[in-house]
Formats: sequence, C-alpha cells, structure tokens
Amino acid sequence: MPDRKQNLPQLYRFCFLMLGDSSKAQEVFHTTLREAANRAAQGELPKERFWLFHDARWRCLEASETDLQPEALKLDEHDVAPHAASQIDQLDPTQLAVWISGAPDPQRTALALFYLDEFDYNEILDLAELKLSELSRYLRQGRGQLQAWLDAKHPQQGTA
Amino acid sequence: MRRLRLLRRQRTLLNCAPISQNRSADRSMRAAVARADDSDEFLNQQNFDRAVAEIVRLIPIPPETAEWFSEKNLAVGSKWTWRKMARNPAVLAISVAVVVIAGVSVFQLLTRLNDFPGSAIARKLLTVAASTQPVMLDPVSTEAGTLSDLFFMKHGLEHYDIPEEFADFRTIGCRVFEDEESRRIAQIWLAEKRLQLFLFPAERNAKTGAVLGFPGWRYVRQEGWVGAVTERNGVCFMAALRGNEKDLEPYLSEATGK
Repeated sequence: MPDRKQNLPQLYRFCFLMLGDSSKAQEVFHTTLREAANRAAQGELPKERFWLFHDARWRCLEASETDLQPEALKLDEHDVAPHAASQIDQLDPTQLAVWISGAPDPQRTALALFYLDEFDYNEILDLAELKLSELSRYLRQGRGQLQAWLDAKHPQQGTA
Repeated sequence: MRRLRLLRRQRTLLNCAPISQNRSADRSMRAAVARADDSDEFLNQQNFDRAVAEIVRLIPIPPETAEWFSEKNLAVGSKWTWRKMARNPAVLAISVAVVVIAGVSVFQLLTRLNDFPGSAIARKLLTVAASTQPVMLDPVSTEAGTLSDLFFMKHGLEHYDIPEEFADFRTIGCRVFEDEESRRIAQIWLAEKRLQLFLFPAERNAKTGAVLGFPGWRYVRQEGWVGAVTERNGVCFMAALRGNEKDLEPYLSEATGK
C-alpha cells in the first residue's frame, strides 16, 4: 500500500475535522494507532485500502455520539462567490474544523475527506461508503452552506 | 434526453473535481473538467476548494501526536516474508508431509522399476531359501541338468528345465512343494557355494491365460539374499544365494560366454 494512503499527519487532520476538537482528535488518533499496533504485533493488519482512515472514521462518529447534537436545521445555501477565497483566508483551522464537524454524517465525512486533498473521488466513495450522486450533492451543499456562513461571518460589500 | 443525462453526469462529477491539479483523475473526470475549465462557476468552485484545502493543511499537529509518525512499519501493514511463512505451523506441517509422501513415492517407484512378472513369487522364494536346511530336501547327488527328467517323470512337471549355464553343477538334494497358492515349486540345492535353484510357474494374464514373459535375467533382493530370474516356456528359473548381484554375475556371464 503506498504511504500516501496511510499518511498519519493527514489521519490526525481527518480526526480533527471530524471532531472539531484537538484533544478529542488526539484521543481517537492515539486509540486508532494503538489498536493498529496491537494488530500489527499479532500480524493481523487488514489488507483493505485506507483501513486506518476507515477505523478512525467510526471512532470519530462514536466519540461524537455522546456530544450535544446540533438541531437538524435547513441551513442557508449561497452560490460560491468569486471573493470566497479571501473570506476563507480569514478563517483559522479550528473554526473550519468546528464548522465541518457540525455537519451531519455522512456529509461530515465527505467534506473532511475531500478537503484533506489526499484522496481522489473514487477513494472517497469507497471510504465514506457513498454513491457518486450522494458525494456530489453533499459537497455542493457543503460549499453553499459554508459560503452562506462565511457571508454571515465576514460579509463583503454587496453580500451582507 | 441523452445530452441532458450527460450534462447531469458531468455536473455530478464536477462537484467532486480534484482540488490539486496533480491529483489523479479518471477519464470521465478529466473530460468533465476539460469541458468546464472556462466557466466562471467552476473557477469559483476551484478557488473555493483550494482555499479550504489550504486551511486544512494549516491544521497544527500536536507534538505528542507527531511522535507516532516515525513508526512507519505500523501503517504499511505486515510484510510477507519467506522466513515468516516458513515458520507458519500449517506450512511447516504441509512441507513435512509433502517431503514424506515424495520420499515414499520415490522409494516405491525405484522398487517398481526393478519389478517384472513373477518378482513377487521370487522374493518369497528367497525367504524360503534363507530358511531351508539341507536335511529338508531329498538327498540327490547328480548333475542339476538331469533333474528335469525327474521332475517330469515323478511329479509331472513339464518344462521344469535347468538352464544350461547351471546344468553341470553337482546337486546335494532337491524337493517339490506347493506354496500357499498351490503353485508347485521345485527346489534344488547345489554343492557350489550353497547355491539354490528354484523352478516355478511363470505369471499369467488373468483374463487370457497368456504367459507374462520377460527377456534375459532379472535380479531380485530380499533380506540379504539375491536371485537371478529368467523365464522359459512358461516356467521361471531362479538361482539364489546369500550375497549380492556381483556373486551371481560370474555364473550368468559364463553362461553368456558359452
């Protein structure tokens, strides 16, 4: 398996995006790797691709089950604006992670995996167990919702 | 309608378009991106995605987490090695079994290579030869070749002829007996090096009754004894002694010389 597929810094970032909290992300990351180390010692490492990410995903979902869940609201969606990049530049990583971790799964997993810029879309479909149409819809909605949130948070002239 | 479906499919793909230019993409994705490359909407999407991905890249890695990154072996999966495989008990057990089976097969093959029709009876008679005492035979002092007439006249055994290479040797005794399958066997004891001669019916085809003959002399071995066997007129002749092929060869080569 190429190293890219089990890139550990990216694995930590994935946990962070899924949970929006550094300490929780570290806990899931460490638990995932400890479990992997045990399995490696017994020669039982799975052969499936991206198994570390797959494992970490379910641990993140389990960990966030105990958290307060956001109300299921229909979020506003705006078209992606030409000046969106400058609005995004004003975000810090934690703000972005909190926003992504607040999304319902599987949209949360789709957004986290896509913006890691680590996997191609076929790999994301495999990891997130989604169909192409579902992934496409989650990403389109995610962009629109993030744009609406950015417009509310960092209004530009003519967008507020 | 088809065009509409195609456009919808391209739209679906474009929403998942790779953020980095160097990210691998399949043919349909490359085609969709190439078609949309000039559109403002797609340009905005790409700029948006790159900006978000850039923020993700800035996520700091805590030092205690970074310690894990040096342990590369953990992530690449357990490597398959010949040594590891050889230590597997199942592989070990199968290997030993295969070696034993191969050994037995080779042994049986080598044994079968020396087999000929009548070799099984010949081996049994070597055992008889090893356990025979001279007193068990009727004392007869004559030339071995003359016993053919005795076997025919007294016992009705046709073609129980002594090959000429052994016909001139003096005998000590002889007898005719039946084995467990009621085959009539003639046994002669020679004065020469305690050689024993046997005459017994040749093997026959169970269906046709035809004699299963073989050319020349064949050797059999059993418990330190060796026999040289030949078949003539449906009767096998065996010269046997304690020793090996080299002890019998002079008699046979002498015969060939004659």
